[in-house]
Amino acid sequence: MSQPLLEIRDLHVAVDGKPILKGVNLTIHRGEIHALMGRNGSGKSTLAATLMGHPRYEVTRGEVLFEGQNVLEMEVDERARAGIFLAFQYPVAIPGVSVANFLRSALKSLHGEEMSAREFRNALKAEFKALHMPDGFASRYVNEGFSGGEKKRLEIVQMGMIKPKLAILDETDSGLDIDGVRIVSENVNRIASEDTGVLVITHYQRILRYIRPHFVHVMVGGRVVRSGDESLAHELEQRGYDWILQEVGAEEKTLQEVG
Amino acid sequence: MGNTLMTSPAGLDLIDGISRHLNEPEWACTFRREAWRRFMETPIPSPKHEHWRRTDISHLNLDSLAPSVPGSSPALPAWLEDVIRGRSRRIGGTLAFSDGAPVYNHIADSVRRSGVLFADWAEAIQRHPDAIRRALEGADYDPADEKLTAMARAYATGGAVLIVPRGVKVTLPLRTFFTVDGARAVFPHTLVILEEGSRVTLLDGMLSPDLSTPVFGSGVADLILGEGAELTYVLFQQWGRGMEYFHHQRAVLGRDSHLTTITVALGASVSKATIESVLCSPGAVSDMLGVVFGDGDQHFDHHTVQMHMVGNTTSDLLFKVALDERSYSAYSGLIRIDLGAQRANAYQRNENLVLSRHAHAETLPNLEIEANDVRCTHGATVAPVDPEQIFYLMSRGLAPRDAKRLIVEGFLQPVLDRISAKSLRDMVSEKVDQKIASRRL
Ligand SMILES: Nc1ncnc2c1ncn2[C@@H]1O[C@H](COP(=O)(O)OP(=O)(O)O)[C@@H](O)[C@H]1O
Ligand SMILES: [Mg+2]
Repeated sequence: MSQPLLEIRDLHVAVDGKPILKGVNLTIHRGEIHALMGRNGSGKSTLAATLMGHPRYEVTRGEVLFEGQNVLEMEVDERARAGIFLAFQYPVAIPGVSVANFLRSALKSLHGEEMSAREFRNALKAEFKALHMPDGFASRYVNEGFSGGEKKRLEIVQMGMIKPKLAILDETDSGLDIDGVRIVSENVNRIASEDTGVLVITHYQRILRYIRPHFVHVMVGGRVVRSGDESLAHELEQRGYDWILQEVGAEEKTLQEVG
Repeated sequence: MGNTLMTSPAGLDLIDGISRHLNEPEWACTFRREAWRRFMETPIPSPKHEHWRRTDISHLNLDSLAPSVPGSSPALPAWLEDVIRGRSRRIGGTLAFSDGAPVYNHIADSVRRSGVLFADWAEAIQRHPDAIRRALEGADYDPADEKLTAMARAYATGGAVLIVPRGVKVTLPLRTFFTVDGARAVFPHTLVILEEGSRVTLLDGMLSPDLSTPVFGSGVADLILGEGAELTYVLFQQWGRGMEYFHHQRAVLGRDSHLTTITVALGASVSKATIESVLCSPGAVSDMLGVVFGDGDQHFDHHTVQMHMVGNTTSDLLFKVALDERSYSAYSGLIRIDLGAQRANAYQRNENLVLSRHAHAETLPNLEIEANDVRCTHGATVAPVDPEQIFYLMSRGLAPRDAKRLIVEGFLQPVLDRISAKSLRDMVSEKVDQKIASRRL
């Protein structure tokens, strides 16, 4: 098989000295859609933020390779330029900075050369239209006074403008109504080409009805404890997470007894 | 250009000389003499005084400073000509002064025809002596500033006067520029009189290149709003390094008048301003806004006063300060609501964005409220750049420096957006962005 797009090996991460991720392994190839599921507090956002390089998350062990390159040595903006994109669970407001100005600066930093003003305006207009947002949002300040759903849509507008190689969507479905989930999903499918890797973080199955994953992983206590195909998501939807917790608990007990 | 070393009574000769040169009427000369006497009698402010605690000027030898010799005729510096011509579209008129003397004026025909007076001091005092006399006699500055305001009154040579007649709404904004070109002291003076129901926007620009020898400045701006008048006044301060500049602005608001003042402070080594709105008739509304961006060793000290003398008056204030390197800013704001000024509304907010470990911001709100049926809120923040904002922007590919630059621009932008005249807003925004872009951050 070709070189993976993303390879996470035995990743351990601590925040303020407190271990959160305890040995995550995950490999994503070009064109694959992976879903990462798990209860609140299981460490999904920690993984997402670590992949993007948030300075508060300290990697204590393991490695992360993106197209074979050591990501952990790269600054946040270098990772973005390498092709990693994170749709934030809680997008940040930047008061006084218009969406258009922000995206213009972002594209300039990402691609070096500048798009013509007109080309840029048209591209942005098209993305807003696709996400069913009025283009008036271009002159609004980034995420300021946006509803939860508008923030999530704006993340996907950005993904559409940036066209990353790897898109990590951290609970993009939360805060969206049924139509919102459908619109956002259709756009993710449109933007993601055959070569794009997608990591969809969610704890509901509903977004996975539209963005259909090739692989589903379940995170518990900072580790990926189960991986499977789409059917694993269905099973979680029907049975909840408790059975996995029990199975994992039993396995750990056995391990301890054996050890 | 000369700088006269002054000792009494040679001082009085100089005062009389200025007055004669400007062809002033007798009363104006007397007025200068009185101001000069107060200047000489008032001791230099002590750093022990609350108002001068954060900006110590006790080392300045003010008595040795004087305006340029009247009669010298400075020219319009080429760089200032570029500033003026660079953005001359959709401007109703421009006056420029260098070393206290008028060096440029252009007034659009439409403005001239509407009966507006926009002229330098010497011309204005010939045409409207009574209005100017009333305005000067009514001026009543903070006693803590007496030394410097009296000095400014005594020595003002150049100065701009704007009188908008009753009911006239000037749609194109007006500008004045004051600069120095060799003088060691400047005393800018701006007088704005808006008659009943009139409306205008004026930008007062104080700017120069960096100065190789220190220059001192003390300027006054008197803004008088008649009933129902609307004034937007922008103080744009971008003196070069080497300037120590003191500004005293006092607005008096008549019934149902609306004042918007926007103070933009980018320049000078030391600058201190008192910015006062006196709401003395019901229905008056004062919006005071400010933007400060400091770097290097710059020192800023802004004191605002929202003075509600009667009820049913509203004042709002937003001062935004961003500080880089070793710069310093003090903001102190007084809201005063007199006994009997019922149903007054007063709001005040000061936000400080500290970009460097060595920069320092102080904020000192002060409320003196004697009426009991009022609405009054105030708030202040002093904070570094939010690392979550930096992370968000960097995750979209922006280098740390560009992320910071965008955040600072965005922080200041909402105030600049309040300059409704696009031609002025673009000019000021460009200067602010240029200064931000020149920083390493
Ligand atoms: N910045 C942080 N500071 C302190 N604790 C954190 C921080 N981020 C995550 N945690 C802790 O790490 C654990 C995992 O959180 P998170 O990654 O947000 O989970 P999920 O996204 O799966 O809900 C939680 O116990 C949370 O409290
Ligand atoms: Mg999360």
